[in-house]
Amino acid sequence: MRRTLVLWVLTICLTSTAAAQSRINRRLPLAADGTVRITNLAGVIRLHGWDRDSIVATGEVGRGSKGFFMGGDRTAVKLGIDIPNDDVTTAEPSTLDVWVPAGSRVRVKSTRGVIVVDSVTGSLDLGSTSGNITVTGVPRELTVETMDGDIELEGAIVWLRARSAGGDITVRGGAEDLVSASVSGTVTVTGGPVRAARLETMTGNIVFEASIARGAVLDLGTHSGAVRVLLPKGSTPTVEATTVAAPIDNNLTPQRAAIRGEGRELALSLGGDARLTVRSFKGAVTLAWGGPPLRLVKQ
Amino acid sequence: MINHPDDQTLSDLLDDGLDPAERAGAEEHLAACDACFTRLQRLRMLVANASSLPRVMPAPAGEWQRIRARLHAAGSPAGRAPWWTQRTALLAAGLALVVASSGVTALLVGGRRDAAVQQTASTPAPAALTPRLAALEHEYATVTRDLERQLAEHKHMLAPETVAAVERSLQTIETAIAEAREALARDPGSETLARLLVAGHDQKVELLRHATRLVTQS
Repeated sequence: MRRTLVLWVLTICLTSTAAAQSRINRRLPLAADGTVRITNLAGVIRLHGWDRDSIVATGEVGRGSKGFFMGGDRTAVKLGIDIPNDDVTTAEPSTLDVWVPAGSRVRVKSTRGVIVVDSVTGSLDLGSTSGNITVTGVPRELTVETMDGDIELEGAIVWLRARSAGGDITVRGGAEDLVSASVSGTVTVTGGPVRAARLETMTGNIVFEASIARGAVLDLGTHSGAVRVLLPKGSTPTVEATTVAAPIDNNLTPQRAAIRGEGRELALSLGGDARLTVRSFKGAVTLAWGGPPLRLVKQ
Repeated sequence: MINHPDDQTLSDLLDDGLDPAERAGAEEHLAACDACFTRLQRLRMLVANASSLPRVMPAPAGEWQRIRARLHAAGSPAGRAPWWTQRTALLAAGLALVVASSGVTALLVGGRRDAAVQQTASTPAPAALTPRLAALEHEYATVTRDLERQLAEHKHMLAPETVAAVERSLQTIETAIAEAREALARDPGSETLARLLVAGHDQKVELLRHATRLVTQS
């Protein structure tokens, strides 16, 4: 009797688990520059670019979700996990692994989901409210937005817009045109080369340790975050740094920043045509040599 | 003769669609030209407002049936062009547009010379701000008020932790804006402070736009 009861309970458990966590495995044809919309509000979305003219989705639907949907034609496909009333508190996290043609235009939306992308060379528009977002590769256009998640980008990105309210933003690699803003997170750019960049924070720190392209225009602004700029040896930008109520520590040349009220002002011309501007209300500014060797980019 | 950037250039600048050299040129001009700087901010407001609009605005239930019934009742001749495509109506509309936009332009450009920039009661009193900054703050106040209203209406659709994150960030930005304004009152000519103030307002608009988009496009 006891053995029968145990078997019965075990059977029910296994059946309900299988029903609740249904597996996903779908494939559709998709053009090399097709459009893809992916929604997974809670869980993990892993997006991979590949050299085939099809889109494949695998993964697992979390308990409490309505299920997986996927549809479209050769030019556009929409897929994702359907959660009742979009209420992520009622559903367990789902996992999605999606392979798309590398040149696709992909938009991913999530609330608590983590987004991980690699090898996509087309355009990406990624948004997660509190999940972290990581991108590796060389996307042509990349727009990333989170409220509280961290953003990590690695590769040579042509056009990049990254914004977070409370998360950190880290860019490792080159960018032709970069705008990165966080309210209280740290914005970091390393590697390079960077041709045009605007980095902004309110209380978050700014760290710029990247090589700069010839003719680059770099604009760094913060209210109270510390700004640290480590220029590659051999860089020759014109530097303008101003603070309202904070020190400027210049280690690039013997020149000291001039005192202006409670703040400081520094203007340096190192001979080249790149331009670096730093504005800070009360965050300390440090300028020094360091970082990777200078790599010039042909214009 | 000064070459002011045209609307397309300003639009491209806003969309980050200019190459670095063009962008540097435009920014250099904007740093010196109040009129163009104000045009850019006006455009920025427009984009921020437009992006927060819902993608779809469904017609009220049964509206198409009512319109069809009214057309039948009025005996509208088939094939007749609607009134808004007729030449006189187009001319009138065009004239109205020119008058309206000239008025706006006059207000914005004239603001450089005219210190008495109109302020609404809800706009923070920019006692020591330049007319250009005062006009900008007024614009920002209008946009943020709209976005805040939309956000308040849909706040219940956001997770509590998201609301907390938005409020925390807004508080941080508002503190920064207040400090920048206070410093500008002591040093009205500071270009650094002016740019930091504008950057603070930009961050606030972007944050509100992002939060509003989370609920209006869900």
